[in-house]
Amino acid sequence: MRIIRKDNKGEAITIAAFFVLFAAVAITFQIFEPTFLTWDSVTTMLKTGATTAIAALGLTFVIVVSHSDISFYMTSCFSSMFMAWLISLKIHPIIAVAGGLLMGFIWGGISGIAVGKFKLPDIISTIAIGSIAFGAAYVFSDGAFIYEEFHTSGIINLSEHRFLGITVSVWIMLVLYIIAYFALDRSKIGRWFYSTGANKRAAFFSGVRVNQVIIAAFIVSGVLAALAAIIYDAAQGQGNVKIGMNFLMPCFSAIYIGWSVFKKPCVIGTFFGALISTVITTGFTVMSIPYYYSDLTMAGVLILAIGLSKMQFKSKESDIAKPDDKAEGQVAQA
Amino acid sequence: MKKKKGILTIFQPEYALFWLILLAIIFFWIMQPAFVSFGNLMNVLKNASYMALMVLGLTWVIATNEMDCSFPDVAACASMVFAWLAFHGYSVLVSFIIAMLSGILCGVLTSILVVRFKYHSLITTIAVSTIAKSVAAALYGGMPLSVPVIKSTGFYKFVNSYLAGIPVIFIIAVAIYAVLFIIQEKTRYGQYVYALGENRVAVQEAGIKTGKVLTGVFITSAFFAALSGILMVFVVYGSGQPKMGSAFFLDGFTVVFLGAMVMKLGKTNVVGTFLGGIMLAIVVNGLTQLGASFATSQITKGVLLVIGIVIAALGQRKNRGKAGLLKYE
Repeated sequence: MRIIRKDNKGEAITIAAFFVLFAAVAITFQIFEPTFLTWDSVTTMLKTGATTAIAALGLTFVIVVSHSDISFYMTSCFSSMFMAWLISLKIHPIIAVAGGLLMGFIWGGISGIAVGKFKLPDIISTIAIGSIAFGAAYVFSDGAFIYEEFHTSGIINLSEHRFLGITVSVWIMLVLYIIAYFALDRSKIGRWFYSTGANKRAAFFSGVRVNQVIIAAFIVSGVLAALAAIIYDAAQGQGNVKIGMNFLMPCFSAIYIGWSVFKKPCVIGTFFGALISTVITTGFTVMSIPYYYSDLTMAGVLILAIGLSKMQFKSKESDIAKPDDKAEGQVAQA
Repeated sequence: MKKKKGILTIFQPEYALFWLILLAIIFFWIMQPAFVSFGNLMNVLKNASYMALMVLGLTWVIATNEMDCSFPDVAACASMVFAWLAFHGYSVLVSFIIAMLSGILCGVLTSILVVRFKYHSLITTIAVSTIAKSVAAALYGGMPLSVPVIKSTGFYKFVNSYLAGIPVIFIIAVAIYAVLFIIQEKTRYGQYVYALGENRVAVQEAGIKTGKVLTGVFITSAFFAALSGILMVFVVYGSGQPKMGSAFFLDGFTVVFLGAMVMKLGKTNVVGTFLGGIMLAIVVNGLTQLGASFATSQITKGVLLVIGIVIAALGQRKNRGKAGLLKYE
């Protein structure tokens, strides 16, 4: 696949700005809690952040084609429970993980076909499909934790094994982000996704297979959410039926924080968004502030981020936009 | 679309929900004869009434083509605010008013963000619901807050009483629904709500203040969610429930989209939502009596929601006609 080159000057500045923001948040927590920025705590933070980041990466694809997926966090419960169930049957962990990912693929495909092929309204159909998946997740153990064979099978290594001092899950996250960056920002495939998101009709008449692109986006979302839930299960050492229920807010926050700075939903933006939301949540946990205050803060940050993304978009619109920017602006309109 | 005449009209999709309700009753009757006892049916109506009240406002939100995911958490927030105030010795009336205000505040926040700042309503309501959930949890450390005090009040006895065998809360719900039905059908406001769902630009060009209509819709949604949250403290739980939200999320949408089959085909509407609430209460009650697992009832609700969505989508497609559909649509 030919790599598309582009001018990176603007992007470099925004990334730098992001690091300043990031440092500001981290230093604020460091002042209140001196153990916040030790090596141990940073690696733990990356470990917890990896799951959110992976799930958010999948959701990014759906947001890029200007749809919404409310099923990913519920289908991930099913996929990870399926994986845990396979593990408890003494099946090799690699096959079990593959099975879990396959379930993510299937549920994502169902949502994708409902939205892409049958043109059902995206939000409400994914709520329905996700709820069915969540109900089905109770079939394996009637809602109880599955922890048989978990510690002996080696599945724990998916989260705990360290390579160069960093856990495997973080490496997986980084590799996925690099692949996604080249796929979405630097290749023809990425243009299909963005053009579908900008205007379906125009994309269709430009030779993009709109329906397939939408289905693909939902499948990516389903698979990556499943992977995130599987890694989270591995970290907890048990199959938990409600494992994905906390993904919804952080994932949307990550994407919108990224959107607010990069003016379009994109891979790098999601990465930094996930990083910042992880730092904030971990900071609150380290300072032993109850979860609901960190949720409250994240909701505030989300609202603020959307506001910023709108502001950027407005100022872009009032200029006579460069053709490239204009296309991005239309993505933001969704 | 050719109109069918006479007896055949009852097979039109507009009446599909009546058939579904009838089928559900017959099914549960066969499986569990005790299901159709008078006491149990009144119990179904009781459950249907607060369920239907919670999503009454959501009906109009969805009719305007917007989204509101915050209703269950607004209900949870209002129930916790009410319980917290009543627990700290405020009178039921004061607690009730302040709890309603807290719910309305959520609606105001949503409508300001959506109408004034043009946020996407889905993301906004996800954020607002998180705020409501956090506030509800923060009031009592995330635990349910029991308020035995209210049991001695007159209002408690009133809403839990029966009038000629029919639960009073059901009568309250019917009365509220009747008022909103009149607003929907006989006032300009109700027509604007549906006009907004058809074409936003056309409505704006016709000189109607779309922002005001939308604001009203979002605040109505929060208002009824809060009302139902507080009523549930009286009728169901006897305590404030900070985690009520997750239990009613799917139920709410199922009720509203089942209702989209009735009357205005493919459009969510007040009468439909009411019947949808009864349908869901029948299914939930029947499945509980059969001893169904969580998985079974969750999947059943999900499938009902899919049926609602598909019939609504088919209805809208039929109204649009073939010319409106291009190959890529």
